[in-house]
Amino acid sequence: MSRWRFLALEKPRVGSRFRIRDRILCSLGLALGVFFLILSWGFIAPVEELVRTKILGTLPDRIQVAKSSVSLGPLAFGGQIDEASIDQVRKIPELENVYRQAHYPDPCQLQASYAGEGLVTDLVLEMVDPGQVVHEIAAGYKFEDPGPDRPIPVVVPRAILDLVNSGISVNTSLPQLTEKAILGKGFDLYLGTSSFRPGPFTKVRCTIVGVSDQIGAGGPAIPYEAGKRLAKGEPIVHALTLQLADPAQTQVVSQKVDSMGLRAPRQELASRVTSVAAVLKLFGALLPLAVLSVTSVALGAVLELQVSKERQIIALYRAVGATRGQITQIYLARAFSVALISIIVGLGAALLGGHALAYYLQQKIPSDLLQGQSLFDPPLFSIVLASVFCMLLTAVAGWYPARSAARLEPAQVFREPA
Amino acid sequence: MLLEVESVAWGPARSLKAGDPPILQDLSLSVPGGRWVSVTGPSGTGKTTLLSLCAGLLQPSAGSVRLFGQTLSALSDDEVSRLRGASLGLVFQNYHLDDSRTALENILLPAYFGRGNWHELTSRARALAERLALAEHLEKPSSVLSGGQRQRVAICRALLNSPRLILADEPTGALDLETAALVLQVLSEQVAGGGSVVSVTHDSAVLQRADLRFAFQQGRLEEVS
Repeated sequence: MSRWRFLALEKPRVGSRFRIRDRILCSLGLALGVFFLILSWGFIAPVEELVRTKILGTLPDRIQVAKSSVSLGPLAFGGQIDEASIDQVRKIPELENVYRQAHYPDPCQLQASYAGEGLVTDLVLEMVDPGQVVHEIAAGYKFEDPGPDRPIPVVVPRAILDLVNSGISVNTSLPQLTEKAILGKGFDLYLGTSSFRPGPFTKVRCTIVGVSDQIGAGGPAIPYEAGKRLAKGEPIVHALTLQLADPAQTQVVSQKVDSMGLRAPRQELASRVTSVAAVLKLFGALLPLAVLSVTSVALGAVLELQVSKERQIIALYRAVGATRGQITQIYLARAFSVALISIIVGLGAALLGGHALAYYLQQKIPSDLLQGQSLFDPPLFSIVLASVFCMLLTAVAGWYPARSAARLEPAQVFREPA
Repeated sequence: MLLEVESVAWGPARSLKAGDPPILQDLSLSVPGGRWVSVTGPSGTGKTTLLSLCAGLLQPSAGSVRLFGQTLSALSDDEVSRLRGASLGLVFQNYHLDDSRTALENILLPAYFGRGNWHELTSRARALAERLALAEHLEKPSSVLSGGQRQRVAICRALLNSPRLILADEPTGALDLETAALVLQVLSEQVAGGGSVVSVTHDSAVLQRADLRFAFQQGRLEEVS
């Protein structure tokens, strides 16, 4: 340790030339840069994820495609995807699975009891391959065809919950619906009849096993095979969800399905969200970088001023045996001490501020949407990036003053008035 | 020889370029071990410059300086710094203390840049301070010390690393007779132990202690009796 003993001369203490208060003041600008970078990146990724998965209903390894030119998410109007097209899509080598989503072909009516009130409504019943929603099924439940005379599992689109909570519940005395509240609850489906097309029907009991962001706002969905077993007509496949082996292949697969006459409207939106997020991330890095650069120039000027004030001390150090390298290291250590304070202050402020802001925002967003996820989750990379930026720019800023300190000629300085 | 100055000339580079004569020219001095050499002369004749050249703080424009058998111009700047830190004690005319530090920290300054045992050096610093009647001032900031106390701190600092050669510029300039005698006694012990002292002085008490006396006369150094 005797090798680095001279750095003890830089230990902050009462009465030192570069006082603790000055160090903190010098650190504030750099800390601001660190703060901005960590804060912006901490919000961008979770918000992007929220928009992609909860609002657009897309997952990184999945693409939802439809045939029609008019679509509302996966709910496509007038465009049926035939078996031949599905087979063609299944042959795309980059795909791991292809999940179908279809309209139940016959009329359908729902009868349920909701907060003591009877509810009867016609509805669009959806049929999906279980793999599409398997990750959204609540623990302890299954989403597959249970066979005849057994309750059929159903997943409910989150959009319907939002519709009920923000519309119906607000205008009536009915309570808000939450995922937890409806899980395991049941209702009856009358298949083959509706208010508009009365007819002979089959009554089946359904149990809600999950809330889905993947099936759009059309209506509740039952397992594809169960629907096929119960329907008189052929299911109308209107959307496919393509699961990719490698999410990086999204662009390649999008082009292939595009050439087959299929469109990926949600994917296009998700790509735009990703692009916007990438731009925001870039600005989130460039702005702090600019702040750090400007501040490091100021830090360099402060250090240069200190060198000019400490010429006599530097000459003294040299006279009692300090090498030029040791003088350089003393001033670089001073610069790095500022960088270290900046990183600690900036990181602390970003984490505290970010979590406080996220907590505030989370009070304004439906809890079902977030499902316990925080809106602020700074990636480790952003912390490393901010720290490296800060250290690097400080090193650059400190280098020139440190070098000019090391180059002082002691005999010449001793002749100057103190 | 601990120090050999051979035909050295020096002047500020700008002045030499302008054709002005050097401040020091054809200057030679040899300092064997165990000797006290004093240099005297009128102000402005280059006494302090001579000490700076001997310490490697200035490069001669001509001639050479050999310190402990090593020609300084042949060493790198870092090697000269290390040599200075390890084997040379410097006492400056204006003391040159770091006023943001205590007296003890000032005495220990050379220890920060060297690799000697810290605890031993701290003990030695305290012992030297005790010897020069500074013990009760060690924890005080050097800025509050009197001129004489500051000079003694500078002398303690020069003695810290047990140097083989001490270059002292007016070592008793700010001291009363009693303290000056104490300082001279300590420096004499250094000489008795095999080390050497080169002092620049006008003080007759210092001159009396010297084994060899030189005087600056018209830019040259001449031995005087």
